[in-house]
Amino acid sequence: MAEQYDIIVIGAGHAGCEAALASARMGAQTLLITMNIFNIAQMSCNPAIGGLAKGHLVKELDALGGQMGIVADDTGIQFRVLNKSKGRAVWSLRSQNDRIEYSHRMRNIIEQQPRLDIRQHHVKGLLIENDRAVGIVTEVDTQFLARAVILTAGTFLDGLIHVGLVHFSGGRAGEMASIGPSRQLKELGFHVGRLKTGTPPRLDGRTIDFSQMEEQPGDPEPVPFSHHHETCDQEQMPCYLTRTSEQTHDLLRSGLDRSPLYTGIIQGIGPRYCPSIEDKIVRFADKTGHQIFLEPEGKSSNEYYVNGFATSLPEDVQIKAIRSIPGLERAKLTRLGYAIEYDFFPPSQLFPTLETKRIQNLYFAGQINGTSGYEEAAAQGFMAAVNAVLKMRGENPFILSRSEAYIGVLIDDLVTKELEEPYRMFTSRAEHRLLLRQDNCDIRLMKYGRQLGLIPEEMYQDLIRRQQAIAETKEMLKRLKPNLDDVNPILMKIGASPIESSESIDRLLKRPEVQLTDFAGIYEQEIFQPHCSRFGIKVREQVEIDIKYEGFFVRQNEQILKMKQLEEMKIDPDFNYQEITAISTEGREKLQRFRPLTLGQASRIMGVTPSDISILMIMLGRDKRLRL
Amino acid sequence: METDTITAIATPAGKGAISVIRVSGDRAFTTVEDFFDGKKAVQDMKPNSTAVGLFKPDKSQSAFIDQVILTKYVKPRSYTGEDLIEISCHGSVYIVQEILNLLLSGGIRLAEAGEFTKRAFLNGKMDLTQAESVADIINAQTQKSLEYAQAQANGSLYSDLAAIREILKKHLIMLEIELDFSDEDVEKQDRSQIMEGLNRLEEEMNRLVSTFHFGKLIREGMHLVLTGKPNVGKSSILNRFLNEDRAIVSEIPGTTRDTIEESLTIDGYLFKISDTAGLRSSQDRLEISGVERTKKQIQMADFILFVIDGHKKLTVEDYESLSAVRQLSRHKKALLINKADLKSADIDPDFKTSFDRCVAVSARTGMGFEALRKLLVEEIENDQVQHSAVINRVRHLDVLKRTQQYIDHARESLTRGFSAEFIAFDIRAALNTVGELIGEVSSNDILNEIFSAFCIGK
Repeated sequence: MAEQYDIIVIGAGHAGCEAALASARMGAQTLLITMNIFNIAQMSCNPAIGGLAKGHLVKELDALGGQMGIVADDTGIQFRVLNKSKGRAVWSLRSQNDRIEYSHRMRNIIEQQPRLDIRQHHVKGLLIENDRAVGIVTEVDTQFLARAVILTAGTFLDGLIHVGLVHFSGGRAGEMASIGPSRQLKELGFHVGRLKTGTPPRLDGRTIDFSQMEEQPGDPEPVPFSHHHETCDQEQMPCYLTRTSEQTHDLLRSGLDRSPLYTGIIQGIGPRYCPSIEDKIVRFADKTGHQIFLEPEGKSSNEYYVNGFATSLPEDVQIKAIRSIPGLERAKLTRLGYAIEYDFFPPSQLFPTLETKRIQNLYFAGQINGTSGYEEAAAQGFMAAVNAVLKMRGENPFILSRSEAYIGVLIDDLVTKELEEPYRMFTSRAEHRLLLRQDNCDIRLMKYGRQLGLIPEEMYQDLIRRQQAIAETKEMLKRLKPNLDDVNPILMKIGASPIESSESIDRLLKRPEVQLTDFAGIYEQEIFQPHCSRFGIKVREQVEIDIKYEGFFVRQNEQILKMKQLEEMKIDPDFNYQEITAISTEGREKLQRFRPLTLGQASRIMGVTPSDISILMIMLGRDKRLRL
Repeated sequence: METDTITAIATPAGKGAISVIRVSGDRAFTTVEDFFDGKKAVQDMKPNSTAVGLFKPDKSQSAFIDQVILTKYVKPRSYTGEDLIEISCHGSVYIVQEILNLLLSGGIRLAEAGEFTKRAFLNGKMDLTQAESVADIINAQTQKSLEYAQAQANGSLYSDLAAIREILKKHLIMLEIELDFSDEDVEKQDRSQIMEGLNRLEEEMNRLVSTFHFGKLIREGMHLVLTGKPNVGKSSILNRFLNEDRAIVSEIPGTTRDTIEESLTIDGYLFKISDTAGLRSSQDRLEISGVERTKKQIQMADFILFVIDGHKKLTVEDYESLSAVRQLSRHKKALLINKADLKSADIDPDFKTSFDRCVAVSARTGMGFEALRKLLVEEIENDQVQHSAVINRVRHLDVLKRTQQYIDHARESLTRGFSAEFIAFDIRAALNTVGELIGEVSSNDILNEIFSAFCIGK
């Protein structure tokens, strides 16, 4: 008799771990299948979490009840807030992490999670009945049954590793590829594409001369990702900065005739924002040097990751080129850089719940959807699992809008846009960027985490109290009008022009140079005091942002409101677009393929024009499926 | 559900006795109220009743645009099923345009093709079987406005907007690099460079808005210039037009040393006519300055009336004047053959072909002036009064003004030293607004440009 689960998650990478944990925590009997139990939550590339826009994803996931932020904090060896010279909307936390510790910690959490079983197996195929996923079958023909299956296979589906002109099957260096599922899905009618990514060599730290490099320390007062943590006080390790030279470039150039990229062996499309070093010197030939960051792989290891030097050139070229870089003259490689090609399924085949349109109860998450990055994968894994459980319970799906989360932007982009290269999150993809900040992830999203049962009540109550305090403080600041004699000396001291008639603190705060603590001498309330409770600091932070940039937020909200009407109009996924000849041919083709669930989604599909949307609205009206 | 309020001309714009402007949506009554000065306030009007009053830019002032009749329909008993008001005004393009502009300034927007009909349908005011035909209307109208946009593609507005879009895009790209790739070694753009760029853009937008052809012709009138060699009767023609002796008329060549500008209206359209000193080479300093002024007038003219004396043979001076005019202006030109009441001399057919139109007139008897008036009205109406043209032109101006607002916001952010994402917010909004007319720039387009132009990625 086959074992029966509610949810089976295939793959224990960043997507799979979040999926399995969310599923089990929401009460579903969950099975996590991995090819190698020692490689759970591997950081296949950078030993780092977060970064520009990705840090937002981690914090959002954390506010919803995900795991990544907690583990990143616990295993962090360096923390830096990027973009700190700019406004709060684009501050992004990035941590260097201990690769081995990260994997151990995640495995530990998974092993302790009730209702979650973990099994080492190769998955040969899915069990499909009447276009529904009902389980899986393994390499030894064991069957596991489930009410939903989440596939998070990363780069393992038909993975092909390249080093120079040599290539071999593999899912990651030293690990086997997964062959069966991809073939089966193709037979089921899924469209499959091919992407490529790459990773740099790792070096033996004992052979690196750091004295020739610029040290990059972490922030003096590091802040954590997770809302569960107040501080992170572990010892930090520095990174090091060096540069390639013309000599490096000559050496790399000499190996281009044995580059799988330039000899046409690699067919998959690589990410342009993360090019290999050979790609950089070819495409930007006039640049005489490129930044190279040496990042520690962890406290328990000697290895260093050579950030900026992803390559698939032959081993001899890699070694020579590395040794031409200042500080790396005697460097020894521990692991080679390589490129990997893998199968992905263009995500136009998914609903915004990440369930496939073709096979019910089958969900895809992570790199197999054409994304890159641990954070993008983790967010998808979480969302897929939440939706799988909600569907099982017969409840409404959980879809975040573009105006409330980067996760909403991520998934909406995936299901409405044609993917041209591996998808990575950027802040510029979020049109409501000013509102989607790291500092308000909890305010934006924790209510959902609470509803899903993934956020502890106590934590949520703390947020409610804070929101109340924020609202009350804002009201108070409107009423507080300091005497001119009190306030003008303060304004002059901070280099602001004095005022002639009485103004509220609320108004004064709108000036860029004015802060609440400037008024500590006039008012006794905690909010004005430089030294106040952690709670008070958080309240002050939100109050200042809300008041200072109110004008922008008002206009941003107006934009959101305009789209809201379209976002709320539902479309039956089985709607037949071919009948509506008034819609442009391209529009019809795209709508039929993407099958959007709302008019908002429909309007974002490339090739669907505003008049197509008007016509669609009328046709939906005819069907009495919606009314304005 | 709350919907936004829309307006459009319901009758073909142009020379009809009246034009009807429709306003539909939740804010229809309050918006019209802001400009309507009648015995009854809009809110006091009974459903399906009418009220007469003045349509004013500012109700506290006496100045008004037109006397109008309002007809009020209360939802759901209206064409669209929403609150709807019809403004009947006199059938002048100028009036319609002004009323529409006021309504838009009141925060409502121009209806899209077929939008009234669409709303009518969605509010259950139409038979369900009519859905297909509504869709076809939208399709057809979109097609029509597409054709219009394509026609514009050859025009300067399109290329001007495309240039503006490119500049906005360039700045946005630099800002986005700063935001999304701050850890890469790419050079940051100096804020003063962005400011300079935006300032130049602002000037460019101002120029576009002020020279906006429709606005200029309709609001300021079509600028006509009377020119030709001295003493062919230019001033007499102007006088005949005005039926009054305004310019000094004499037999001495070169008497009219200054340019004289007069306004007149024909069929409700405004014209401004300048009489000029003629284009003759002279040593007289006073006359030389007159010639310079004439040249300027010709350069600024929308339409040129070139006068010859039909009673006499063409002289070298006629030819010289014509070639001077042709050098100065590419606008349309009409040949006025004056003194048509007298025996006419033969006119070189090659000379005539230099003109778009040709009319024989007599300043003395008034002969041919009806034809001339008709010709002028035709010119101003030529591409002005097409229904879609009016709508599209109002739309263009609306886009320009909204784009300008965003650029203003961005400049303010720069002045106040705000971080890149705030500046980017308004530049993106400006870009999207321009995009309404000439095509959107997606965030993917921006990223594509960044990846192709900059070495990004560790």
